[in-house]
Amino acid sequence: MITWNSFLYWAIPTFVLSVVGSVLSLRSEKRSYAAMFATLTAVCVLSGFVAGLWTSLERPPLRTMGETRLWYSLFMLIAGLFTYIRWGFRWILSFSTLVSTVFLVINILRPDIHDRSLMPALQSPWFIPHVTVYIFSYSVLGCAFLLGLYNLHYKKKDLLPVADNLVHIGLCFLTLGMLFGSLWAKEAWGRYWSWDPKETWAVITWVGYLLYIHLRLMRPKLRIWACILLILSFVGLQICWYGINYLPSAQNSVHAYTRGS
Amino acid sequence: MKNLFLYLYIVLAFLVQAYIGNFPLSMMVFPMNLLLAAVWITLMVWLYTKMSTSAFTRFLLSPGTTIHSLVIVIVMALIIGLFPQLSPSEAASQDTLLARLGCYDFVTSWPFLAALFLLQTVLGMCILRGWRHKKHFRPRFFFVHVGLWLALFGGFWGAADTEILRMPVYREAPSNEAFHEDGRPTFLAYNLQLHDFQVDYYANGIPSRYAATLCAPADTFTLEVNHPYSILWGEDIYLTSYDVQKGAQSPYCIVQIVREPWKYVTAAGILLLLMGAVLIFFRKPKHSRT
Repeated sequence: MITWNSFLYWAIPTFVLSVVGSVLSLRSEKRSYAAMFATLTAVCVLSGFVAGLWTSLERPPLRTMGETRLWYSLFMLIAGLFTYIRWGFRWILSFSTLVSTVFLVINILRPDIHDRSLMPALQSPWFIPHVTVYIFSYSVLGCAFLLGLYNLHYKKKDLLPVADNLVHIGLCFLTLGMLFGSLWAKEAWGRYWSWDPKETWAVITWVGYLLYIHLRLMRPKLRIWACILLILSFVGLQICWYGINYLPSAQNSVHAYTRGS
Repeated sequence: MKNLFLYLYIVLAFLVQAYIGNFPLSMMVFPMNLLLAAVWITLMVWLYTKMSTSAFTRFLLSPGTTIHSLVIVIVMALIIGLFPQLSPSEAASQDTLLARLGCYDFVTSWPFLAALFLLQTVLGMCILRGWRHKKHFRPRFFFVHVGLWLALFGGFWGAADTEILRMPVYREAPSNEAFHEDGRPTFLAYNLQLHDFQVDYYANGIPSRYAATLCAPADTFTLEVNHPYSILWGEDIYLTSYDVQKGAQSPYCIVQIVREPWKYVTAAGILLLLMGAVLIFFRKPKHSRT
């Protein structure tokens, strides 16, 4: 029976393996197969915990903030590994490990409410695709955010072409998540879109990345603005994901499943 | 510099808002909305085909206009995201500058609708250009832009035709009296009666699932959360609530009736946009040396 009580025994091996992967990739001039293997093993360990938790909860672990953070840790490692395999940056695994570890540690120190019940509105075939696709896009866009920060600091290197590719993939998943959400909202509440605070922030984030893509296509010389946009859009994404719980404008949001329960 | 006109246009919309209040959405019911939409589309086609060299057409198609329209949409959405949105009557009772500019009921305000209108126009012109230049035709461009345009079109022009009604449905007798969001009663073309109600619970006593079987003159159907019933063209019934204390013995249930005749347009747009997103995923990544 895998529950949150045994999380530490899965989190530590995940952490150790992903750090090993990061160190190996940093030390290797070429793409290191050992680094890929270590990170892949870390991904497998964490996936094992997610699968076990899913079984013991008797529902997909996608409801509480703690559960979505778990997926974020997992997809961050996957997105980092994907970027490393595809483009071979030596430092990307260190970044993805760092972000993934932050979320693992938050889950160890501040475990959220964990219960078995899933309210009727969340019982839908849209639930799993909507949330997993979103969390995956968050991780890919998290990598793009890191590239933006890095590039803003080290202006000589132009990493934006790589960020472009990440934003295309991230935006594609962000779009899927948003549209699955709107099709689901029609089924659950009768409207595709109702400008609820969470939906509004989702659209702010989405248009932010649209703006990035159009800016890169139409004004490729404005690199600093592109970096700033990568950072601001990612801030918007954080507000949409959990920051909204602290906004006075969002106290009546219909999307606050975790608050006060 | 030309892009200043875009911001001027939004400032103008704010001024209109301050003087006459929110957009009179009720004026835009069918067939007015369809008529104006047809005029607008004809104007766009005319601008693109007959006036392609005019300064205005080139302005609408310029990269700067695309970029600044997106910036404007973000700023407008930020207003909705940062200010608490109140009901029309609550918002009207506030008398601050921000309230007069429509910030507390922004979705139907002039500046917000002006921004959406601008976005749709710019998007529409870009689609026309993409259509004309078939040499550079890319399926993903087409799916993404036409999809977004259609989804916006259905939501924007169909907004006034959308009605949300609430209605208690009782076990003891059939009824057809439903209520608008502001409390006005209205009568449906059909009667509804509650035939059967079921609730399942989790071990901790929280309801896990509830379902109502309703009788309409034509047939009997079961409603559940996430499982609405389509009773007429563009009209769906949703189960929203019941007497929680009485559970399965609840003498009534509350249903929501959504009339959204334009939903098919929005759905078509969403599907195209979904396909476009998938095509973008399979696009060949640009090679980069770093």
